[in-house]
Amino acid sequence: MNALRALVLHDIKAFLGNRRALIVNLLCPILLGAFMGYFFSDHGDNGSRITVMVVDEDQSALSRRLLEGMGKDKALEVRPVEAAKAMEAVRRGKASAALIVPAGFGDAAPRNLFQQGVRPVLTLLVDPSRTTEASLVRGLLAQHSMEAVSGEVFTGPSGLKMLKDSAADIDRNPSLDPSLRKHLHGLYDDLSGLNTSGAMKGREGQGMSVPYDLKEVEVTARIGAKYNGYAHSMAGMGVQFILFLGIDAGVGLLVMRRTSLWQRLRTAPVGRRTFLLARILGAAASAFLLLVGIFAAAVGIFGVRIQGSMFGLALVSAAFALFTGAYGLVIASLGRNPEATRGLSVMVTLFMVMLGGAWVPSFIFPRWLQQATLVIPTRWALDAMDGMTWRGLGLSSALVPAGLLFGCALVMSLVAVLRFPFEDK
Amino acid sequence: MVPALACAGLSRRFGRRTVVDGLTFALAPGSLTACMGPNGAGKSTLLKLLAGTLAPSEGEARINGMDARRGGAALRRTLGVLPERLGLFGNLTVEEHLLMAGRMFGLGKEETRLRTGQLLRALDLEHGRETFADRCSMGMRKKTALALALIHNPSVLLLDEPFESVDPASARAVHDLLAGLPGRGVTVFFTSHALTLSERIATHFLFLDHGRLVRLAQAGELEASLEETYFDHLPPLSPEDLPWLGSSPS
Repeated sequence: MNALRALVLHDIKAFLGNRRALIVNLLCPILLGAFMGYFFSDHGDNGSRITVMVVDEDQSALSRRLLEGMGKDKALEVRPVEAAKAMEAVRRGKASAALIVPAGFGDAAPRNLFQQGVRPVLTLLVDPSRTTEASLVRGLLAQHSMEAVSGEVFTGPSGLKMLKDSAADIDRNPSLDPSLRKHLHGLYDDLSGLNTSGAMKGREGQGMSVPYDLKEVEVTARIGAKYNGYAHSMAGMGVQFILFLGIDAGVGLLVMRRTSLWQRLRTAPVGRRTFLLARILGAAASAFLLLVGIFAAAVGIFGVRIQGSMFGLALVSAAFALFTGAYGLVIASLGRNPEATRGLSVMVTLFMVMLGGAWVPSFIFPRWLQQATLVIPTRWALDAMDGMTWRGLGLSSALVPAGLLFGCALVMSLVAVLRFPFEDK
Repeated sequence: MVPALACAGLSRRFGRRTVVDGLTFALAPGSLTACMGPNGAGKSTLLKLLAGTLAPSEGEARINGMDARRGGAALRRTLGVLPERLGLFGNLTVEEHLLMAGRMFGLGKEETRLRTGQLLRALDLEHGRETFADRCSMGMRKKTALALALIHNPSVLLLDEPFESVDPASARAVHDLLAGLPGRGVTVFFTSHALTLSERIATHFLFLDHGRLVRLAQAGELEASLEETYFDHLPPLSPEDLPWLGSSPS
């Protein structure tokens, strides 16, 4: 027990004693986490608006009304440009999409509101790498065009002409059911009356609108608690850099085997299990301290709140720290030489971190990948850390992921004890 | 009586090269043996085989009757080793090395502190007790490593060149310290090129050449001085004439 304690204390002291390395180990995840947290946070400014270039080839009252409506939308930043520049802006990534309103749109669009004819074609140029934004633009375009076209029908001159033309059209259609013809005439007459009566005076352009107000509620720890993007990014970067610490511990052990320190340790009354356990616990303790430092910075500097179980967060952090210690030892057990092992383990770690959702939230992945990543330990750790911070979940939500991480650490430790080349050949 | 150190057909090969070649000898408890031989004779490899940190290709080494490779923690507690390349942690001070070693060898906190202070004084390391190992001079590092070999009161000491790289006063201190150990029942086996110092304290001399045992003799059995005996068994190199040395540069 004394030997185990002495070795673990030595590792912790070595970790804390190298001030420069400690500062770098602490600052790197915090700085990267700060950058990513800022990137994924809603700042309530124009920064998150979708830029859409618009080309108005119609220059009608209706096209102007449509673009005006889009311009007032909080989600969009509408920029009128010439046709030649619109495509270039999308190609260069300066805009997510570009909308081209063709000549004749103002005449043709109202006509197609109540009957099927030759519909005008709006062209939407989209950036294929920003499909989510393009989908949003399509939806908002449908809303604003319906509002603009119906407004034109109710109050505009082209709407009145459209109603007269439509009435003539149904008279020319002998196959139309007499009863339907009668009701359609009634509808067109009423709308024409509304358009010409002056009843809509002061409400020009007002048409159909979305028949509800939408109240968005952020589902975080409790109603009214704002989502803090730094909670996830700090946890993500913490997980990443702690795994790097595990790599350092593993590769460090491989390097040590080449040095006289190994001879020194081999002459001490320390068995294989004690020695390897000490390495796991030493690395785990260092990893845990680093996580504490990162979360302290998240709380103190970036306003992250532990809205769930503090004990749960500590439990998950401890489990992940232990996982990291065992991970380092597995690297040392399976690696043949430090140089090759470092490269390979960095690649594996980056995959784990990326698929675990540390860089970007996992919902961005295809559905099959989201399911596949459920078996990745970094995902368990990150989901649990999210749960204990901004989601405000209780201790019970931390028990399963912590148990899985402890289990993984145990399995990896067993592999390491069996595989590690303790004896010199 | 069980020998403190014993080898039977001990060999070690690295690839096709045989570095230690079929050594068989036994040393009684309380003996102080100087292992001598030219560079590359296999002295350091023999020490590693005795310490159990290197596996033999053939044969076996035994310490106090225990297999050097399989003796485990019980064997390690009886053994003090000064390795060839010292094996110090660069991020620990001289004193921290001793405190850590004491704990690893199962000593209590107080006992470790007491022995640490005594060893620091005995080896003239007190002034550098708070110096990190990677900032110590070679002599200080050597003495620190020697203190680490002693702190747990081993019954067998395996020392690789304990007198080299230390100043004359420290070499004398190490000499005096080692000289007193056989009287306390401690067995010492050390490698060295310091013939004069070795001659003064050793009770046995073991000469190695190309991994083979050339001679194992008690101090009283030597027919001549150690230096003469050494060169009788291990002839000096015939010097190559280097006519360009000292000539004017062209």
